[in-house]
Amino acid sequence: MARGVTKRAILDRPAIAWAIAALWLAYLVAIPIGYMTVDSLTDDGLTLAAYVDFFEDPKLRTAMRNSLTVAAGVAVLSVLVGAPLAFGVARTQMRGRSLVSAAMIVCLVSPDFLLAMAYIALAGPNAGYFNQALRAVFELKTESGPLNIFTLWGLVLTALPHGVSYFFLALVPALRNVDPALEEASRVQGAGPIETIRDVTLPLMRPALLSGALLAFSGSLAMYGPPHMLRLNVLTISIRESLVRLDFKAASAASMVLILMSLAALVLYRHSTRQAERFRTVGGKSFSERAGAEGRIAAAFTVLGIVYVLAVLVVPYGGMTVISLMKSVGMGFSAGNWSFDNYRAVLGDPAVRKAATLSVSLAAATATLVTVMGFVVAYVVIRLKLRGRWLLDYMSIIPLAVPGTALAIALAVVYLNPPLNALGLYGGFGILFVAYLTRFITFGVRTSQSSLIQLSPEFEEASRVGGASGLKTVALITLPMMRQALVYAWLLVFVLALPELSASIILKGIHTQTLSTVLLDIWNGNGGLAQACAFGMTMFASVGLLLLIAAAIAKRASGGLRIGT
Amino acid sequence: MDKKARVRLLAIAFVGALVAQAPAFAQQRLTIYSAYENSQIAPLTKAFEAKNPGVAVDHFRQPGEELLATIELELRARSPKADVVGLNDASIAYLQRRHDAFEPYAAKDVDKARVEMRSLQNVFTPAFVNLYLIHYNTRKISEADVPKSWAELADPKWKNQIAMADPSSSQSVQSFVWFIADHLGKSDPAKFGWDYFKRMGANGVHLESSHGTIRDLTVSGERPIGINLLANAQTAKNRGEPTSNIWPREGVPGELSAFGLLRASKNKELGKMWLDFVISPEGQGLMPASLGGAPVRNDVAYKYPDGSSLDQVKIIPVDSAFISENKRTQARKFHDAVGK
Amino acid sequence: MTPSENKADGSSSPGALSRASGVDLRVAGLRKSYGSVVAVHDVGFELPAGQMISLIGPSGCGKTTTLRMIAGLEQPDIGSIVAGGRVLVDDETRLPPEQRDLGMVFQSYALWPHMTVFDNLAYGLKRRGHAREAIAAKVAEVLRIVGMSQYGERFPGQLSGGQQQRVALSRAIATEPGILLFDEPLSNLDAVLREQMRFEIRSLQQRLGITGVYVTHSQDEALAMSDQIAVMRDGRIVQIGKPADIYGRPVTRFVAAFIGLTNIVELRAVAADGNGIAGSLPGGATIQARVGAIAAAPSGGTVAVSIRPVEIAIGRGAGAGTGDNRLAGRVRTTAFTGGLIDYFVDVGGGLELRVQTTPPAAAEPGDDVTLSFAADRTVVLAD
Repeated sequence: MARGVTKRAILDRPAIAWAIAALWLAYLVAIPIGYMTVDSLTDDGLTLAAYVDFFEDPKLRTAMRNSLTVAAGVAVLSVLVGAPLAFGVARTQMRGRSLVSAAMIVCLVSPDFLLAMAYIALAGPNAGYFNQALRAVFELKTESGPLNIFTLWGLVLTALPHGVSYFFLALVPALRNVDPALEEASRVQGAGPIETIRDVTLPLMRPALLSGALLAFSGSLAMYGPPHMLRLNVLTISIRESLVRLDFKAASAASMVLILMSLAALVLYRHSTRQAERFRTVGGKSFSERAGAEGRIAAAFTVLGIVYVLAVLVVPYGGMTVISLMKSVGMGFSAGNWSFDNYRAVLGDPAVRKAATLSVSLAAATATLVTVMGFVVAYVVIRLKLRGRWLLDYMSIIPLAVPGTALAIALAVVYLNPPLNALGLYGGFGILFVAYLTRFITFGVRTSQSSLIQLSPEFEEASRVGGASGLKTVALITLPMMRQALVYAWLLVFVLALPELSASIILKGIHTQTLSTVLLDIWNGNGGLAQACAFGMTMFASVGLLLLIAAAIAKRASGGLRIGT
Repeated sequence: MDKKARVRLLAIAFVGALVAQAPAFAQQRLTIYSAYENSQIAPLTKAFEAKNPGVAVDHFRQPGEELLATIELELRARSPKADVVGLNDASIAYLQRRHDAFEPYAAKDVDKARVEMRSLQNVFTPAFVNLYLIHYNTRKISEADVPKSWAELADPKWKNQIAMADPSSSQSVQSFVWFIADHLGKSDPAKFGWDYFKRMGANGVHLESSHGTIRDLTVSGERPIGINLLANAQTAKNRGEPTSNIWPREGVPGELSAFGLLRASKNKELGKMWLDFVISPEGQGLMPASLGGAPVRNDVAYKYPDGSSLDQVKIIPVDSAFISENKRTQARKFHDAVGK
Repeated sequence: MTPSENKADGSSSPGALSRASGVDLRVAGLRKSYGSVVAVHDVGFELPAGQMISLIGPSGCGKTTTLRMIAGLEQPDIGSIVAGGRVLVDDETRLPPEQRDLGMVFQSYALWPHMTVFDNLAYGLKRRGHAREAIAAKVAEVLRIVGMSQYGERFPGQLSGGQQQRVALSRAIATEPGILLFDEPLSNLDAVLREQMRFEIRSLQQRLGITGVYVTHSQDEALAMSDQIAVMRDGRIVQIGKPADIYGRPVTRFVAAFIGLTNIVELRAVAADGNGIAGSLPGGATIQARVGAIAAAPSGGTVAVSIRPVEIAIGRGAGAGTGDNRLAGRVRTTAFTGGLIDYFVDVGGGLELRVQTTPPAAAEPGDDVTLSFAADRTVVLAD
């Protein structure tokens, strides 16, 4: 007779999975954030001194105001620019819809500091090519301007493509998923197209509009590269400067302020996506087949799309390519000033090669572990009905509200002080690895979660009834059925981790320079503008190539098997 | 891609990540932290490696203030990774005072350096003299037009044309700040002192984190005038960029760039070999072509990038002791004055 | 009692599917609550080997939860499940699903889309450690049984709904499970296919001697496919018995209305004799009933009775028809539904009865008619 498995035994494995997931999140999220919170509040006893100092320092107050201004500016402008583009792509027969969609994704994953570099070259008030052209065309008498990238508005402009992408990618599916009958009913009731958009479509879109704008907002709060290059005083920059002064209390307090601001955005975001889910239950299907507006309206959107792609991709990266080919930037567009020397210098530099090896290894290791552990956490949260899973869910989403700079400070504080300084991670591969894992945890968990939610539990139950244990079922049924999502998560994290800057800039050590810290160093004089552009274009091309691979895999996977019923 | 290929790809990526951590092949390695650009220090390290087969130099560069923070953090984490540090003498003095970080060493030939260049306790070995100058883009500004004095830079004529370094990131600019605010501030308070930086702020001076970036802005014409270091004027010249420099008539602050041997170095013999090399005639002869500064030995011939010779430039030695003790206050006063 | 066949240890080899593989199933005192909500309340039944039981009831009645507890996909708070003498669940033991020797057909079929039909069927056999050749032979046999022999190398996504259903069924029987569980397996099919599959499943189950538990909310499926029906409501079994008994002698209004179409009318001033009861309708006519909860009917009080529309004869004029109970009324409206004609007849006192006959029509709207029906087809209800 088969001895029955006792109650205790069957609960053991889920409990182990729960414990692994909880330890993982506690180590990566709870410890650094908790430690820094405590650290910022103590100094021989509980005190708010660090925060008082923060709010009494006019420079930090300005930094906070600047951060908020830029984030709000990006959020608002993202809506103004992104909404028409999203509408055009989702609802009209404009040309180049796939081009615009592709441009959005390219903008989202290509590092923001590349665009900053390009815009400095284009819109620098004195020598920016765009300004020179404007002065020539309009016969302006000034030697400077009219555009000045070294301003808060310049920073907003630089961050805008990222924000627009967030917004666009949130809005397009929402626009497509509205049941056309809702709008048709409005037309039948006597409303015109504009009134219908205003009274029916837009209100239905509100959750998606809000969540897109909030993502743009918190993304802008967290930027490091562009304000660094534009020399603007925002919180991320102040945090790093505090660290350079070795003032950990100030850095911790500023980091906490920054985290709280994006946490507020995150809470609102969660709220609005919940609402979005509630709205989406209407039918729950996609209506992408509908024919959109044609004729003049479509033509107008086509023009808008082309202008946008030109402004955020073709012109800046084209400009960077041109500069990267100059022997001497000072000689400008003159004959004989062209060569591939900068590419040779950059690609031949052993420091660059070392950084490339490190970044690829870091990104690959991070993507792998984040994907695997993301699955474990998602499985525990979605499938195992154990107590405290909401806690795991929340812990896994918090990193989204922790800007890389703030996370790096937290990790520096943790790994420079007892007891964890005993691990000796600071200044090496280990601390960067920990930082990357924490930064991208959410992507792994979220991707697995949404895939698991769509996967009917009956597939797994059929396996259990068919004679497979829980673990075997995961291996033979769950994971193979989720492989598309897992590969996607891996690639996404890899592409995002490869050019990670805001945490790396603080945590890098002598032997652990990453691609982006080397690029920033080259920009900061260690090679110069032209080499930085050559390096930047190489990075851009690599990211683009990875995206193509990802798109090909996604297409192949979706063209093959259908998952779910 | 089939399943196997994907699994293999993941496996390769993961193994790659682990392998990347493995130490590089065994060799004697000297680790140098400095504020000098890779391309600038390269001729020096290459010559050193050529002279000492089997030795390889790892160089790690950060803007001076950031490098100071890195070193201090490493000392705090008890894992200093450098053998030798290259900074200006004020920063070396600062580290020595706070951490007793350096091991005194009297390099061979150190007595050949000019006496005012030498460290009393041999805490550092002098490498070259770095001077401030007005660096300008010759395609944007004619030689006749270019400002000939520090005072002229505050003229609204040059509004939004000038870049200088930010003491939050740069160590060297402390020398310039001392020179303007304290040195000239005493002799000519009407034109200089902290008010000078207030006027520069109103004149839209652009603050950069490192002098290399300022050089690039001058070269591209974005900021056709840079308050820069001799070393960068030299590299621009070496690259054939359309730039030249002015030695302002008020004189120029001269700071000493030097190397020190870290007490915690596990490679002290190699470190000492480096210090010997830096002060040797060969090392000193390489200074203009590499780090771009003026040699500290009189027995090595030298001309400035604009062709002028050593005696034509009025050099004011900076008060390193004052700077190393007051740099936080100086930085704050500077930011208050510039208003950024 | 059937001797315990412990196949879960993987020692037996798959043979021909000719012998009866089913074992008897005893479910007793099952209870399951989620927080403060009791989903299943003291559910129990006994099912002899080779028989099929349907659990039927409206959504939320606990039928699916009961099935999932048998499968081991949910754990009961208390209660026991014993299959073929082997304890699946009791206070001491909780076998995980994979050790219960079950087959299950899911509502969504749950065919693994990344495996071929063959691999789907071979899955359970592999888990039981059978040899490759034996598995291939078994899969071929099972596919032949359901008429899907040529589809082994297809992926589920390339099959029609009916074909997927057959594959799901064959996957469930491939391991010759002691018990086969069905979770509303036909609800995703269109009406014609559903009808057809209903008989296929029933004949397969009877031919192979499978013991089956079938969850459905369709009375037609339950009546056509089962040896026993358990009608559930609010987590309890309200009536259990043979299909004919459930249909012919519902004990409550709920069962009467849920299984089959019926008229439920209130009788007043009830009087009982040894054989049955009699009571009066609101219109004054007296009705006799000889089956159902006669003993419980309160003398002089009110009682509800159920009369199936097809049990009522209808004839034009006052003297038409024969039967214990006769009622005069007028046809308000009729409806032709193909095989049957529905008449809605006003019998006075605000009461309307529904009557069904086969064509041709026995009356037109506005006709005065007489309804007649037998007292032993008039069922006294317990509530």
